[in-house]
Amino acid sequence: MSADTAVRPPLSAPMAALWVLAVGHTLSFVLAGHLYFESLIRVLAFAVDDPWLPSLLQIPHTFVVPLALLFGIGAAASIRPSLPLLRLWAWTCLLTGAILLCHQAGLGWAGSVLFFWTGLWAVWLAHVRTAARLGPLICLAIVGMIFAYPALGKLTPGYWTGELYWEFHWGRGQGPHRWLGLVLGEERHRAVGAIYGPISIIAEASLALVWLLPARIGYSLVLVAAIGITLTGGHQFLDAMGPLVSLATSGAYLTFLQRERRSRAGGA
Amino acid sequence: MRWPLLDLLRAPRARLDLATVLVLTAIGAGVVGTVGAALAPQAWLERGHLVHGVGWFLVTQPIPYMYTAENHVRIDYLDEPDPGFEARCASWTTAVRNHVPLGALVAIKQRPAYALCGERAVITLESTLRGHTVTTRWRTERRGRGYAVRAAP
Repeated sequence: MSADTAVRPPLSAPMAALWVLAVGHTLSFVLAGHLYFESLIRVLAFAVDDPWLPSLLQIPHTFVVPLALLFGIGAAASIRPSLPLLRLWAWTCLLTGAILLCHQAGLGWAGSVLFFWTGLWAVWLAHVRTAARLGPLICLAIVGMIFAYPALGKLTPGYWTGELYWEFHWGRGQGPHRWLGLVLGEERHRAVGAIYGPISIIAEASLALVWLLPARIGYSLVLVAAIGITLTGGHQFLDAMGPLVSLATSGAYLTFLQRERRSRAGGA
Repeated sequence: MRWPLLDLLRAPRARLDLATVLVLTAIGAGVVGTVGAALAPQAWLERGHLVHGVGWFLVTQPIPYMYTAENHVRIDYLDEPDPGFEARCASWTTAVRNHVPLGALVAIKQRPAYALCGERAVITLESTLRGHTVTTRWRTERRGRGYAVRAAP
């Protein structure tokens, strides 16, 4: 046993889940870094003075500083997890999400929304005594809600027929679609897109009800869907899917730890 | 196999602390807001800046508007447009044609896209959602390194 583990007590189940969340979130932050950088460049290169937004929500500093703090604290909490550091990360994640939701640089950026809800889950996990018991349900409920809005929003003829997927992603050769276009040819590629439209809407609507399922099945479905969306959609989905995968992984890990604890208690 | 919802229902004596109640309320507000935003008449969204703004925040994101509104952008240049601007503007216009939502915060956050359309321009956005069309105009002009955006009559 190293000296380090000898002096530090092991993390409780909710704190261990919070640590998994911080690690996953920080890793996804690295993977999607280019997307945040693009948003920052847009603000720096094309400063827009708009009287509707407070100036604080238009300047680059209020965009960069929270993100940098979140990344720094997330990295520190991942490497040396401790209760105060994980709690600090949770609050930083919540506040960063809230700020970025309103900031001009966050235009059309789904990541800030995920930051906000991930932060809310993290703060709850860090402070509530019943987190171990209720956590699996709360996390699934948040994930379900996150799937509800694209499902509802996409109930349009354009998305149902797959035409808009083609226009925004597939036809532009994003992700694997450059290769798929070459292999299938444009006509067949479009035909696949037409099938993908309704399937994606039905899948997202079904996942909105994931909190009704047993935890193990629910989390498995969410992780498969989120990874599938990233693989079929391309890297520009990483800003949303990274935090979502981290969120679901932390909930799944908490469920796993609870099951282990129960089986140990049963065995004893 | 553990069913989290059943676990909760089977423990009726378990008291929920305030933080849990708040989180569950936020999730409920998110669901109600999302459904409401998807179904609400567009005129409400246009007028109710505050409601829309708060709803947008809770609702997780404005995706219902982003996906459902049909948007058409027209740009009237007040000066001879720089060809570079025009090219950039064309790409932005394509990008925003289906993405730009109507309503307070969301449209405002998208304004930088319009501002890139010339030295001085009036940008008209006609947005239609479920048969109701709302027209919004902005006047943009270059200011230093960036742009100034103002509501136009």
